[in-house]
Amino acid sequence: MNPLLQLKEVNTHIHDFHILEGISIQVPREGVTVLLGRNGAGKTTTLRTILGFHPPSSGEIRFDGELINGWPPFRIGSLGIGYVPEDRGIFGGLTVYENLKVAARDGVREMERRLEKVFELFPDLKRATRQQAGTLSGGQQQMLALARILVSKNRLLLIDEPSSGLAPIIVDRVAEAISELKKELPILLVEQNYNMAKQIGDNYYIIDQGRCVHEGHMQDLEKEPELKQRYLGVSV
Amino acid sequence: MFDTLFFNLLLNGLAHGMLIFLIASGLSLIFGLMRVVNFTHGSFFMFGAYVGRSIYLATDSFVLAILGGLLFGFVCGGLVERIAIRPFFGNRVQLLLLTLGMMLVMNELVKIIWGPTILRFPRPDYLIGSFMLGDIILPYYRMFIVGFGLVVLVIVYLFLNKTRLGITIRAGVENPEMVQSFGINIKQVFTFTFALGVSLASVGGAISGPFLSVYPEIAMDNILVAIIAVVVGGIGSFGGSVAGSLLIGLINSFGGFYLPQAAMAFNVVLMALVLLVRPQGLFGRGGVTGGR
Amino acid sequence: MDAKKILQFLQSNIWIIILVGGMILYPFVSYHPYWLSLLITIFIFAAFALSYDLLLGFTGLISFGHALFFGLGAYSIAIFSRFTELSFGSMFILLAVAATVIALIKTAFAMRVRGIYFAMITLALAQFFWVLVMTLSRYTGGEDGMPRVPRPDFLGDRLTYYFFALGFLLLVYFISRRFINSPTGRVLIGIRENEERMVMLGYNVFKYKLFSLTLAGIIGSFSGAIYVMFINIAFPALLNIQSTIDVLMMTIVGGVGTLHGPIFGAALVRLLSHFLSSHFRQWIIIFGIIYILIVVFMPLGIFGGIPGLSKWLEKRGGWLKWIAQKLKP
Repeated sequence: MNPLLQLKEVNTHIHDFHILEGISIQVPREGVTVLLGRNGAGKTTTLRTILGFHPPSSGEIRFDGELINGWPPFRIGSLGIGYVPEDRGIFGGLTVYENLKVAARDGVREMERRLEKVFELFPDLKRATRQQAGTLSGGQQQMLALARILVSKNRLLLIDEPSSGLAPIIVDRVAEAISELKKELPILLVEQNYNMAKQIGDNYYIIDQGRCVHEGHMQDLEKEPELKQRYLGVSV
Repeated sequence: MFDTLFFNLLLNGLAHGMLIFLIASGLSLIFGLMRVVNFTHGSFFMFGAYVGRSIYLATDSFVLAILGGLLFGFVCGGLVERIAIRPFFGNRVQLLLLTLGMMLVMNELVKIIWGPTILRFPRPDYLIGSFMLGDIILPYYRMFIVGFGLVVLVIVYLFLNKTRLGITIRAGVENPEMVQSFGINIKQVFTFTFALGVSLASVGGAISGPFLSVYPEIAMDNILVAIIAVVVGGIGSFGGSVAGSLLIGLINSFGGFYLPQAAMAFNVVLMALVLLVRPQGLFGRGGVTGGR
Repeated sequence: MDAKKILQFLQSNIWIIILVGGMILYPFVSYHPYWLSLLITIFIFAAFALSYDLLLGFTGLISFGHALFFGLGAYSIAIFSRFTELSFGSMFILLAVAATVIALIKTAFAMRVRGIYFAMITLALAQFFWVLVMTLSRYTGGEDGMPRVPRPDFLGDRLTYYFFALGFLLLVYFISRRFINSPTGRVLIGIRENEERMVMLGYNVFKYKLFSLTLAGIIGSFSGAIYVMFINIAFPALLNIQSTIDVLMMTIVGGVGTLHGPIFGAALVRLLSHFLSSHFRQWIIIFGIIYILIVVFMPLGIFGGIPGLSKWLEKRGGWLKWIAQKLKP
């Protein structure tokens, strides 16, 4: 059962700051793997290192066995690693449809083919195809960000704090959407909101000050209140 | 009030505005996408005029002259981007100074090749003369410039809105990182956009020849005006560059007639006003006070 | 007045002393009016470039309109001397006031817009003044400029003007250096590095930028005034973009953010343009190419590049190491 994505002793420096200090993570070929930890722990940096925006100073990153350290971001993207950043990364000046078109890595025809399923999952977007993406609500933008992943064949999805800035009721809908998505492809999720993580996560890693300090199955974490308290600031 | 003078000034302003638009649109797109202030844009406008003229005098075909100007800009623009811009990417101040230096070298180069004096670019026979609309005299060549500009405008608009590459460029203006995450090689997009922008400027130069004459100073004069048009219209906005250019062209034309010495002042005042009231330009989307 | 302190001062400023000494002695060693004039213009432009460095190198403000101050100084003297009976002293005081007002306007803009947009605005302002000068040609002589700009009687002689210009440059240099090393100067450097942080630390950024722009403006405009008093004519090209590009080049080539760099940059630019123009007809293009090479390979300018050179020399050891030590600022 070899993992789809593997990080081995990855160190990342940003402007002389040592952010990641030997991160080792394995993302299996299905399910949701969650990176938990406080603000500034290095979770976002981990995602961005995988994506090639910050080349690691040492260590290995393997996608499906292949070494991808130091690859330019577009090449990593073309492997089928989708990304939804914390700010959604929506192109506000483009319409919803145009946003999807940019993401259509396998061609517009393939995108059209998949659109039916996408709109089933995100009915709001169907009504808004001609709307300027910048005028969508926070929740709708998050849906669009996820929809963009579905219009081409992606093999792994990296999401950064999907619940950030959203009202609780919208967070539920996003969690639902991600639960649907996990049937299609494995997900590596960064989240501070423990409840959201608990709902959809299968495995977890806790990141603290640039290091992995704990890992395991999501349901087991429930039984470790001191861990949650120490690294996540969650009290029982 | 709507007499010959009015229409003449209007046509003049529109023609001038179109020429500025050909420079400003590329400039705006390049700055919006790559955050590079391309001072060589004016130089390519100038080279387009010289190259276009030489081709016309050699082949007697105006069509070839225009195509030649276009191709020259595209090829040289692409080369400049690969050789001089891409290696220094990310280093904004250095790039600015570099394009400034290249502009100076190109402006001098033209004097070495063709000499410093004003050269005449004759009009092709079928565009000499004027069109009579009742009492009003409308020179054909000016109408040609406006028409040509409109055609280019429509083509570029369709490109930016209907083709995947065009949409990608617009997306890249907003968020180049995300574009890369979709597997798109943004560096190639940069090179293409740069070449495209420059080719618009150089074809603009080619058609400006018979209207403005051909001399080295047109590089500097027009880059300044184009920069103002871009700032007024809004960085990275195609529609903005259209609006800004036509506005400036018309202001120059009408203002220049009633107060000839103050023509440049109007542009400058307009730009200052826009920057004070709406710093991102009429159609721009933020980013003026920091950020990208 | 401690003997030890004097010795220390001499040691740390040895290069300046040698250079200044050389400049002072020069006219007595070789009196050639042509070279003297060249050096005078070098001193004046060095001061101008230095003022530009205050903005670019120390405050981080990119200005494409510094020629505005130069032209302001030039035309103020010309207009005051032709249309008023003011003494030179009063003229300079009024000029300083005018420069301060302009600096105030520019700072106001600098607070609203950043980076390249601010640069555009400064360009626009300089152009605006150029247009103003050309439009009011009845008073300013327009294209032809204003000839017969007088100078104070005691400066009538070229040799005296030489020492006057040298003195001006030295004064400007020392004032700027004291300013940069003062707490105010440190804040400015902080602003250049990370303006947001300075704002959050509670500094009144507007005030500091105003200081910087005012000082740079006054030095710049005084340079312009002294220049036209020397060449006896004020003309519009002093205000145009080429003028700003010239001083930009001097600063970049010499080394941004060093204060002494632009001085040498000015000397280099003027000497090069003098030599190249007398040997090659197309000297500007050669100059342009040299400029590009410097921007590409020595982006910190010649004197900015010295630290790198020092390290290289140090590694070689021996007497090369001794040179490297001496080159350290």
